[in-house]
Amino acid sequence: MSNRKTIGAACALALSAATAAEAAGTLTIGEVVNVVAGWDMASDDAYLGSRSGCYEGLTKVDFDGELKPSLATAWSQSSPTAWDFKIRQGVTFHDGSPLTAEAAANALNQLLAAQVPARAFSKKNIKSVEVLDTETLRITTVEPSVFLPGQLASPATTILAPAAYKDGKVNPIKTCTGPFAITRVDAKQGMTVKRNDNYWGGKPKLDGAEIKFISDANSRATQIRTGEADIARMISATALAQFKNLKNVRLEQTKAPRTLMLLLNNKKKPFDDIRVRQAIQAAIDTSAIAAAVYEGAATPAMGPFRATDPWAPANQKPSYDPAKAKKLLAEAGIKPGSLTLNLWGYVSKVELKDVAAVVQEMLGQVGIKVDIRMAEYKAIEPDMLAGNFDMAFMSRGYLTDVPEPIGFINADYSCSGSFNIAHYCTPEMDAEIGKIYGTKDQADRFKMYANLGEKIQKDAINVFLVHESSYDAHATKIKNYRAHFINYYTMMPGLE
Amino acid sequence: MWTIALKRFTLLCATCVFISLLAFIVPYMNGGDPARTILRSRMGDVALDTEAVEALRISLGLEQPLYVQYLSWLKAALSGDFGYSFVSRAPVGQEVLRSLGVSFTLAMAALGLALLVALPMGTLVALKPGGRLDNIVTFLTQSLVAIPEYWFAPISVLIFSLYLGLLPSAGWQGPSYIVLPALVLSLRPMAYFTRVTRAAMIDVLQAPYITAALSRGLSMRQTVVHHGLRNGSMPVVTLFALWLAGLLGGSVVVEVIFSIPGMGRLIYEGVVNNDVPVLQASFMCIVVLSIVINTIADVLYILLNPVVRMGHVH
Repeated sequence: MSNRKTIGAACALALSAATAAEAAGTLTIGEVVNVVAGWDMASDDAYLGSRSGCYEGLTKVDFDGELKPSLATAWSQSSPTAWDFKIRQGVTFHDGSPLTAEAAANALNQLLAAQVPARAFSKKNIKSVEVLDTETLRITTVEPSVFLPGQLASPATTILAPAAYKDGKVNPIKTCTGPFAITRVDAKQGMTVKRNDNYWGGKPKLDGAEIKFISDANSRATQIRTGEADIARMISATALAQFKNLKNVRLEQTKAPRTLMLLLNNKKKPFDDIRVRQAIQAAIDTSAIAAAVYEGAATPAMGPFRATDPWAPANQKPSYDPAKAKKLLAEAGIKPGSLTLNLWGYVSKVELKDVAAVVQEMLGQVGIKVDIRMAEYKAIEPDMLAGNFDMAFMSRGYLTDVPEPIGFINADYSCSGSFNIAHYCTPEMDAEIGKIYGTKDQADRFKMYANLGEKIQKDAINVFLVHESSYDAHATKIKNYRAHFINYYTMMPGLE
Repeated sequence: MWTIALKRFTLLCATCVFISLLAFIVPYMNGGDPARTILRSRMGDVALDTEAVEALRISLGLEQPLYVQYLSWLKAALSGDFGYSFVSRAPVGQEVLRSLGVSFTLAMAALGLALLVALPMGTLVALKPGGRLDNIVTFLTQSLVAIPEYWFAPISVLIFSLYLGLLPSAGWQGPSYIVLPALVLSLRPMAYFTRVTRAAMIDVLQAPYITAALSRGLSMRQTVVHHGLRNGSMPVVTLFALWLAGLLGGSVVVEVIFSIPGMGRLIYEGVVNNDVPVLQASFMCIVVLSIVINTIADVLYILLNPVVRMGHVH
């Protein structure tokens, strides 16, 4: 670093020296996103605040997907629509003010009053947030909901000190409770965090971190190879080969809850016929896509969920069977070569053009012609939402706002779902989804997800292609680093 | 002089109105719901709540007819208020000025580097046109023009950051961070400047006043430096101005690869995210600057060229 700085400074005329020397115990992190929306809680900025080790909510989702206490020590449902949360005592915000039930209520009420509501916590589903006593907060939902504690782990529901909220804007500097305090922010370039010596969960081991915003995946990969960064988040699958023989860098794979799907327009011919949908499903070899396009960095899908998810249906099997596909098409009265379908993909996900070519080839094998159209996502979205398409690619996370797939199932498969691009709608499915919202026992809910997952796959509502993995790279000298499966945390107190 | 100034000012106003309309329309040209696009850029997720989309639409005034949106922008802009970014809600003026400062620094460094190499190189080869050095330089300049930035940038990072460990690979935190992107950006202007200097110098060196200077006993070096270069560099001044205006918003590839918060990235993200206020202010700024830079170049041209200065040429 000193060599780089010396020569660099000499090269660049007589301007002042570059970066500050790295303090002992300070990390440099290559982060994907920058501060996009002025720390609006309904934006990705809340995730950034959480990953920086500053933001904390009433609950948290640990690295195994379990819901754990955070700023609330316990919670209970006092009625189907009311939840009481016990606020942790002895916690102070970074500005020294104490965490109280009033402060927590203020933070959540600020979120409810936001001009643009947060998906995890809005007036649509939350009726009120009240202080019961100095230690207890009551949150009342509009409809009975078992998911509220999970929603309160979302970074959007972070509790900041009252001083953080002014004129509808949020200021995270000195207003969080987490193990690290944000001390400097440059919305485009990066931010600095410093250890919070008074952290309620014990003194963090690191002094702090320099978090650099580097949107280009290859540049992040380079930063860790040059030693400029100690952790680089979200290394692209195509860059993984660079790290194979590097002894001082380790890759952390996260089996992200994200699936690449081939959406089928169920309301349009010929996909209103289940046999044609099943034929498409049987004609596509997902293992070949995972191996050829993703070079093994993705897992072939056998349904909407990963086989390792606790709510995954048992005995998932690959659906590839071209003979069955031909038979189903014949039964549906579709002669080889008589059917042409359009397939849409979006250019921001570069590998989709390759997946599209493979799918085109595979469907060609069973006599279906495919016209591929690759465009910007925003250009094709209106037609997808309106149902003016045959098939479209969609890379979609299935854990949104809560660590269970309820949000995904409701948005994508209920009649009134906000992201039901397949235009699938049956009263039976709606009734099943409705039941989940009222099921208190998590194990029972997991069984219900498994049943729905099985039905979605059996009816070939969409074709699930691969489950995408994400990779974080870190220097081997970094200890206790774990990549969080839904990207909630990076700077943890145990990191050293 | 005043006629030129008036003409330039009229041109500036007309161009600004045209560009502001264009900036307003560009995000709508490839379809899509602007409110959904803006919200998606803030959330990084495709599945959006309909309520949130509608709330954002109203809060940004996007539910109003396009001409109403444009006119209210124009009214505010005339009083110097360019509004707030649809995405970050930060004052657009601040965002644009900051990015412009970054891009200006980068462009000046790149073009300065290009000039440092091109002027002596172009002059040197012009002394012996068709010679071995001329052939090598012609080959090199033609190659440099053909090298795309998206290829040369990663290669330069590999060499200077990864293998040699001399320079930082990305960021914008100090002087050392300018070197690599400036080098990458300088290659093409360097090639053009060299070719133009060469051609101009060949013309100039055949002029009678050069022969006169040499016959007065001046050395070749003195003649070239004091008489030749002054006239030979004039086309480069015009070219420099054109490149400077172009690089202010046109170095998006380099800015993305090197994580530089400049105008190219600001405009690119503005188009992708439907951030109309940012686009309008950015375009406006670049147009005004381009015209100002070209006017300065014209003035310099007059100062450098006595023929123009004395009013012999119109």
